[in-house]
Amino acid sequence: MTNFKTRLISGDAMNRGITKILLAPALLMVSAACSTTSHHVANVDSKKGEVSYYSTSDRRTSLNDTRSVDSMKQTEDTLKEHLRKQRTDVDAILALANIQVAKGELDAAENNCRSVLRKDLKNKEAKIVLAQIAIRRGKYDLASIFLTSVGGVETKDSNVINMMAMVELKRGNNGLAMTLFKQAIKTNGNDHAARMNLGVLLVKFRQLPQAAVEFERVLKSVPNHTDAQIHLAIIKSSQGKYSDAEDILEDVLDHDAQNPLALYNLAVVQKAAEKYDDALASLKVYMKAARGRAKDNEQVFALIEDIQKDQSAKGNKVSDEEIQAMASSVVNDDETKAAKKTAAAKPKDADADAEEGVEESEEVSEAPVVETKKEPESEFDDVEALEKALSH
Amino acid sequence: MFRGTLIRNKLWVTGLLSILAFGGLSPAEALAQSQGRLGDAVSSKMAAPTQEDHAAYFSENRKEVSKTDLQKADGLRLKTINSIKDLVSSKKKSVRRFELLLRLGEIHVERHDYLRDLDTETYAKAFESWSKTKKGTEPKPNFNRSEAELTNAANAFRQLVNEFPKHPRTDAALYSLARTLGRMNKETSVDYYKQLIKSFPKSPLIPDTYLSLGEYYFDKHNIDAALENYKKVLDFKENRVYPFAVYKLGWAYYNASAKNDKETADNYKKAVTAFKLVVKLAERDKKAGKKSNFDLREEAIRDLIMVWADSEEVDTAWAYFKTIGEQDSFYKMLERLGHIYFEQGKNTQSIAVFQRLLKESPRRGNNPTVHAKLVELYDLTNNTQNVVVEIQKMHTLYLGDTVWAKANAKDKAGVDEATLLAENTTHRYGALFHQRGQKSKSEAYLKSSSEIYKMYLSSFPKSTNAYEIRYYLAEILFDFKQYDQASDHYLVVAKSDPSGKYHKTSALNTVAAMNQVVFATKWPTLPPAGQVASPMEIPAQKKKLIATIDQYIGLLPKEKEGDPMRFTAAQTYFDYGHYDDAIKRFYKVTTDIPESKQAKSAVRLILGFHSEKQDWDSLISWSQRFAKADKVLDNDLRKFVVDVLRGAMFKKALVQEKAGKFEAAALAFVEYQKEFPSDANADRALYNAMLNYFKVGRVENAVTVGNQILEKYPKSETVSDVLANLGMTHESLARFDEAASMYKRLAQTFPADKRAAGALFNAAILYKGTGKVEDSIALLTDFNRRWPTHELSGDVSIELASLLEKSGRMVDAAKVYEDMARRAGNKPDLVLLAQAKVAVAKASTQNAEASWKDMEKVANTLSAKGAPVAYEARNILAAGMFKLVEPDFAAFMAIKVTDGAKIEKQVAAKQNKLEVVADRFSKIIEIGSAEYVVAAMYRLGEAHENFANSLFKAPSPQGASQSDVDKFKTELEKVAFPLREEAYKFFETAYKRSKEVDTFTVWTRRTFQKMVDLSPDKHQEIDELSADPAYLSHDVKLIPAVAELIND
Repeated sequence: MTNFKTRLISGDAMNRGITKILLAPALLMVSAACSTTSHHVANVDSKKGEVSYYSTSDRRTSLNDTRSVDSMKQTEDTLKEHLRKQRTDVDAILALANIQVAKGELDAAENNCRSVLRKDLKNKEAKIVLAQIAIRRGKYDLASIFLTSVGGVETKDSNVINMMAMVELKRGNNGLAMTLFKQAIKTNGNDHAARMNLGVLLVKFRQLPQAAVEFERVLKSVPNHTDAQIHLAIIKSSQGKYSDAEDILEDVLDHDAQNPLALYNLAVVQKAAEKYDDALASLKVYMKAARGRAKDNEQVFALIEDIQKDQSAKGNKVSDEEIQAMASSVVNDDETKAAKKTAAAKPKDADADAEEGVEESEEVSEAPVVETKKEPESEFDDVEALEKALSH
Repeated sequence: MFRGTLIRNKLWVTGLLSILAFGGLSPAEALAQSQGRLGDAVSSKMAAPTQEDHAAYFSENRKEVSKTDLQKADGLRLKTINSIKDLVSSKKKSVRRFELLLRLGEIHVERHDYLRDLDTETYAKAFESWSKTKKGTEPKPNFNRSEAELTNAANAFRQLVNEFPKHPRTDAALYSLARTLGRMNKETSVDYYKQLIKSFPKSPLIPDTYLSLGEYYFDKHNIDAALENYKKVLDFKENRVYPFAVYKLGWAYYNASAKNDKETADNYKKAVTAFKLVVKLAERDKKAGKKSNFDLREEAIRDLIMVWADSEEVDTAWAYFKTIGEQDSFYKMLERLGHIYFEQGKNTQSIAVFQRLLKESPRRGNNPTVHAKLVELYDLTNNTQNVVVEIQKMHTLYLGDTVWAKANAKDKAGVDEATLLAENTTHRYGALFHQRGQKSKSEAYLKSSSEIYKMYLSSFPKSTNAYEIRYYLAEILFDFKQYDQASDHYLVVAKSDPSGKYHKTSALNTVAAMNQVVFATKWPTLPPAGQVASPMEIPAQKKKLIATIDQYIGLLPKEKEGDPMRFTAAQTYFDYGHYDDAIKRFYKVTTDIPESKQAKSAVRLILGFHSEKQDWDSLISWSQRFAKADKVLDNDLRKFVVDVLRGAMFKKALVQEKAGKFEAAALAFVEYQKEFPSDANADRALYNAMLNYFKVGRVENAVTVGNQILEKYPKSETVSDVLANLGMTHESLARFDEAASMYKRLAQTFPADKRAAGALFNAAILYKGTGKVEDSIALLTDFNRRWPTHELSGDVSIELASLLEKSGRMVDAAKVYEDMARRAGNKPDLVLLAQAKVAVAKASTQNAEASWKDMEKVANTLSAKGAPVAYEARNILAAGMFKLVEPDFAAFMAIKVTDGAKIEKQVAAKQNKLEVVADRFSKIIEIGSAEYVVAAMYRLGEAHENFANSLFKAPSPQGASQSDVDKFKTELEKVAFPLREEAYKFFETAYKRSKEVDTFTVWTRRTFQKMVDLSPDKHQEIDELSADPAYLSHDVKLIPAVAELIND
């Protein structure tokens, strides 16, 4: 425990994290075909005359933190200002809608798309954005209608195919989903969303060499793509390249000090490298940050247990009582929060439902495991209790 | 005939009155003369100076005194009279009684004079007023008041004469009495004169007495006695009355009787001599500074004129007047002569004299009068042409800023009088000739009359007479077919006095005259009505006709006669292509005289014009306007207007649509429906509006209009199309509920519509998308019922069954699949899919074995050589069978080896179970579903691993020795290890197969983990927390604003 404290106090992870927050780039990625500039600018494809932003409903990634949203807000404000002067600029409206989807402002985005459709019933882009909104809301059947209406898998739009893949993934058609992700990438090699989705799936399904190819491709275009970096680090770790993996993850944390994925995977690497204190410190930061996900808790605690076991094996004992106290605290806390959330579930806004639905839905199906209980988004709000448990 | 002259002095009232009575001058003229304005005693109608003139000549304090002062003076007189009366009536006799009484008499005389002036003025005014209308009794002069004063005076003088017969001034008393009585025409005055002469032969009043006696006799026309007494005054050359006596002597000779022309000539010569003497005496007295109430010289010269005129001694007169510097008097003489000739009927001579006079002395003040006389003379001599000429000259010479007017500028009254005279003369002869022309049908008279009328109107346009004169002129011009001019004059008349007697007639004739002009003219042929490319110049005559019509309408807006005129004016503009003006006028016809037939024609013409031009906007506007004009419309016209409006609105919409102005077209169609909601084409209009709105992207408008059709025209032929359109639109707008509703209605309301099936399917799918599963199921079920053989029926069944499955209605799902399998026919993939689904679905309704058999039956088909690909069927069947095996698998896994003593039996049981399970997993593997191949192999690996572990963990038989235990364990391990190896192989194979078929699922991950677990040295443990595959890309067009931000 002392090590935890020491790590938290003397270690530079937090300080570095805070510093990095101040210096954090926007989490907008830059595509391969474009001239990458700063972190604030994403995916400028002068040939296509487009700038591409990426988003995910996974709050654990760097794409969805507040800094990213702040960065996008600049673009949003610019577009709104532009639209005050040119109310009917469809491109601008759709650009705004895209930004709004990326920011999670789904109602506003939907309104903008509908306004475009009222002007142009066949506006494909608006329907695509509506499909995105439906996906974000977890309404995959609805998304499927939109996607079908713009051509579905027949279209040459990687964005559409990517979403089709997500729909199929939701339906449990993993094989078809992967095929579609690949088709999306084939259609547009610069579609990092599809490539990331494919890479992530490949990691999940333990096709690490293939996954590494996808992440490297992303990183070739966007060297600071934190999500790609994290997953590449996972792969390197699985290959025993702990130092490389640790460097990558530290680098990610330089940009996003509270990234739960980076913190967890860093802890795994550190554990493998027998840096148990550092591993526990990373998990301490993980727990203190509010971006973790409930369903990951079991895995997190398992890791902690493993670390402690290893630590114990190395002479750094952690008493069972401490572990039990910690686990008991977390479980109780989870249950309390779950109960509260259930009670507060009605009424609830559509987006919230959607977000929740997405998280549920995008989990790779593992028959016969059936999720029957909804868990809170983050269970680490009661920091004091946890700290007390950890420092017991 | 007694001759006399007018001495121009206001004091010579008696003379004035005599002129009034004798010469016919008006009191106004008399008054004017009395004020000294008219000075020429040139009229033949002249009176001689009387005793009143005499009195005036010698009177004092009456010349150049204001009325106010005269009034004040009279007041003093009254005061004095009262004072004198008081004194005279006093008991105490005044030593000045004589003077008092004399003064009393004199004051009464003065009062007489003053009051007489007032009486004269009163009469003059009364006469002037009466003469204007000639109504009532002609006023007469009334001198009672003034004459009473003379009586008072006479009484005072009488009393004086009676009281003071020997007073030193009794002669004065006698003279005053005689003189007063004389003025009262009392014969006794002569007696008192004679008493004076007799009693006071040395009296200084003797010359006055003779003069007065002469005057008395002169007034009594006793010229000889007058001559006698006048001549006696000639003895008193230094006396103040001498010049006047000479003057009257001249008059006496002038009036003296003669037996023959010679005596007459002699008398004239003596008169001339006397007057010439008066001229000299007056000049002398003037030089001597003597003053009198008037200039006797002028009077004498005037009288000379009279005499010479009478004697026709023109040359003599010219010579004399020239000598004394009085050429003007010569012309007065000529004027006088002209009058004499005129009276004598010597018109030619009179004309000659007047012409000479006017020619030689064009600036004479009296020329206008002379000219008027000249006009009269020409008329008398029937010289109509010269009448016109001279009247014209009068206008030229005397009206306005002429030489004559300038020369006589100081005499404003004279100038005004000249103007009046010219006006009267013009008026008189214009009317006279007109009257004569009408009576005699004489064109000459009428022409002259018109010329004179024109002169009049030119010079006196504002005269009160101008109204009638202009009307008369217009009438003449009309008769002479000078319509244009006639119209002008009629118009002026019509406009000048709305209440005038010719107002209405003139207004009408104004138009009638111009109409004659237009009617009589042959005009060039015009283009067909409404087809003039650009406005043509309207001929002046027609323009004028329009102007006269406008004037008529303005003046008499309510006259029926104006109705056709209004239309004619508008029509003229129309004929010449001035369509804007024409339309305005036609419209005005409809508003001003809505109930007229012209209004109805105007409506038709306006609408017809715009219709011809295909100017639908205008036609609509006009139609709508007229549709509200209830006063104009009868039933026929109303129907016409509404028909036009209907047609125009529809055509407008169509035209705009054709021109690509879709929004405008839409609006037009909507307007049409609003205007004619019950029209047979109303629904069609809305439908067209909807389509046009779609074309311009006004989707919401299109939807609104579409909904209107559905609501208001549910039986319209367009409803099915509307539903289809709205369904698609809502779908495009992602309003899936609404879209589904439309599709559903289309399918249900129009079952025969070729789109019905698709619509129903769409509705079902959309309901599914919006989570309305039951609705979707209902529609899909309906679809299958109605169109069992439709090309979509396969998809429908799949969707339906799928939804039923999701909702847990497996039996129903199975029925659907069975039905689908029955109908799939030549679609083996579909048949197999259906069969697989049926088999899987039935699993919920029957035991596992039965289900397994059903599924196995399908699996056999799929496993047969040459079986269809049926990818989906394989997956579904494999999944179903895999699920069916899971309980057996779980049972196998649960079998423990718990008793070493019974190990063979337990292992055998587990072995048996494994075989069954393995057999079934093998069957599943045979099906060929990639995912379930891996899954099945994973399970097989798991089973083997489990079996191995069971063996590894099997308890030793109780009571067995250590060696037996060791042997027991060794034997088991011999079996267990291969099993574990086998397990690994299953996992490894499964993982490889997964890669081979490029199908990665959770089974792949599990398999990998098993590989790690079973062979950690070969496979690295992977503990990771990875992201969700939830990445989306958002492609934003690089609009400048964003590009700028990015560049920054």
